[in-house]
Amino acid sequence: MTEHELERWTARVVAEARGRSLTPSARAEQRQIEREQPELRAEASLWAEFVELERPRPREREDADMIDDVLAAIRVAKAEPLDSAAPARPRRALVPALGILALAACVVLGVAIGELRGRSHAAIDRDEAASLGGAAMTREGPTILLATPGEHRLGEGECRRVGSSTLCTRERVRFRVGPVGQVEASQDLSQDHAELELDEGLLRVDATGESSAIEIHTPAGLVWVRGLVELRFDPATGELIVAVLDGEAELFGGHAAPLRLGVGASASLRALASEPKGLAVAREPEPNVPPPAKPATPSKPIPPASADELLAAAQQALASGETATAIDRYDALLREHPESRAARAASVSLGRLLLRAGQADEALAAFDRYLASDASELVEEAHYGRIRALRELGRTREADEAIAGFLLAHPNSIHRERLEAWKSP
Amino acid sequence: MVARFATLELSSDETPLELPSDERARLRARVRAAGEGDLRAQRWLVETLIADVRAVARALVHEVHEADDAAQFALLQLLQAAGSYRGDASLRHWARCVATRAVLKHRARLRRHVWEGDDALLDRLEASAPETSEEQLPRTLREYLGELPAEQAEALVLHHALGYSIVEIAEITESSPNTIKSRIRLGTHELRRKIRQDLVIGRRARRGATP
Repeated sequence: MTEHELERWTARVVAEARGRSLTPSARAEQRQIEREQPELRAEASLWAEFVELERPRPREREDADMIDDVLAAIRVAKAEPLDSAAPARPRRALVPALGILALAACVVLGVAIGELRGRSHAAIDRDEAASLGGAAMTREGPTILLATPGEHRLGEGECRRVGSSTLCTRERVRFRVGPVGQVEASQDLSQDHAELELDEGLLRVDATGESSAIEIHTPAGLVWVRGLVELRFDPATGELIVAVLDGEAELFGGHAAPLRLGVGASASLRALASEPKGLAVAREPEPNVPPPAKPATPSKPIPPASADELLAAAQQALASGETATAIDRYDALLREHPESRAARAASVSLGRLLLRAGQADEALAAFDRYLASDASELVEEAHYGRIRALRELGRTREADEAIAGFLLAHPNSIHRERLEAWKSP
Repeated sequence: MVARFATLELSSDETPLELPSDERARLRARVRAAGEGDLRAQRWLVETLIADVRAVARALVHEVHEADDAAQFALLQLLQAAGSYRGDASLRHWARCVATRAVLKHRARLRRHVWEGDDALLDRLEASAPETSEEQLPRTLREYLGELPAEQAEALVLHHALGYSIVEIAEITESSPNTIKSRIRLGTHELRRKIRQDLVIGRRARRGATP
């Protein structure tokens, strides 16, 4: 029997399970194939199970709850303005769009500086790339040269690509590129992997792609970047400062425990004088890490993430379906910038996410925080979320009072029908 | 804008090309209105398409709660894509394609989290994996699919469960049709090998268990 006949047999079994009737000749051919391979009869029911994969399963959420959540999410996202936001554009594209604009600016600046300086580092790199077969890559228009293995020096506004990550600097930086390739993250997921040594200066690393990761070695320690991270290494003091703008970074060095930094966090590592590869973990966010050793010559501080950056990062996580990350980022926004306009709307988003995560107490607090503020745009959603949280907590009397208040205040709400059904008899 | 749609009653599986042109235009306008933020159009679109979106999520995601999350994510993506609905394909076909891409994206993230050692997620996935004794062989299709390389299992589900053609799967997964054919062929071969192996073991075990 040919492979093609077996494929046809399989496709017909699935089609029959779907309720389609076979022609008499097709049915005859099926029986003929099964006579030749009797074991096919035993496996037929398993192939027919493909049709069952679409069917509802126990413990699924109700359609109505999901519809409510989706519509509320859209409303809340619409009401989450960025404090310094330019005109509307798709929120989920905000961070990549900013990145592309920044990259474009970097390239334009790089070219301009190259022209002014004559044979600049960029020109040297371009020549090196050309000699290696023109290793240039394009990202959304502007060309960013691929950093080939070896030493690189970049000046203000210059960028390079390593694997699927982008490296830029606002000042100057010296680094060496090591092996670049792919590693097996799991049986069916591979990840771009690159290594480089940061010798001196400030480097902004964009490894926000789904399969991007980059390992950065310095005398103070090793940083594993999966996101948008700024690093500054000062060889005079041996201090490395790391600030996470998006995604995360993990710091390793000496005998200290690895330190994982989320969005908005920053930390510094310092090479020990007697042990160049060792380090002293210097500051935040872990409360139990050793106290910081004050830098002899403080480096320029890297500003913490702004409210807009944290909001954009939370929205990006939400748009990508990363609920836990979105909760962390909204938390960071409320903690770091409680008075910002972005934080007020974020309370409602956070409340909804916590509610879905089964943390009704915390969700209730988030909705109450919004309702206690002077914001008004999301009052309806905040009230609705509050009612859901009260129901989850079994506070029926309070929920009933809240429903009555809601229906008076919002008689034309899209939630009206559900709320009326929720009222106690 | 809401009033314009008040009398519009279209079955979402009608192919727009088979509809009179004025109805096609009204359907397109209503979908686009949802994309532009019209609340009632959004509710109509989500209510109309939720069954298809959830079917896609169930077929592609094994764990029930993760399938719920994937479906919700796909519905949001659908609303964001609604503004650019052209009406070339039937509404349901368009929605299924958007949802499939969204669910595959969500699933890729999920796999990444598992690889990164998200303990809570691992616990949930382990708790959802049934224990099978030899007498219960063969197992369920989902279990066999879970043992195949993900890309092969995905191609089989897209083809047999969701009914996509080779060319459509190639477009959705941004692969070549030959790659998809190869994944389906290899996946089918491996799935059949596993099923037959278990059928033999199960028969033996049941014979052994019979007094």
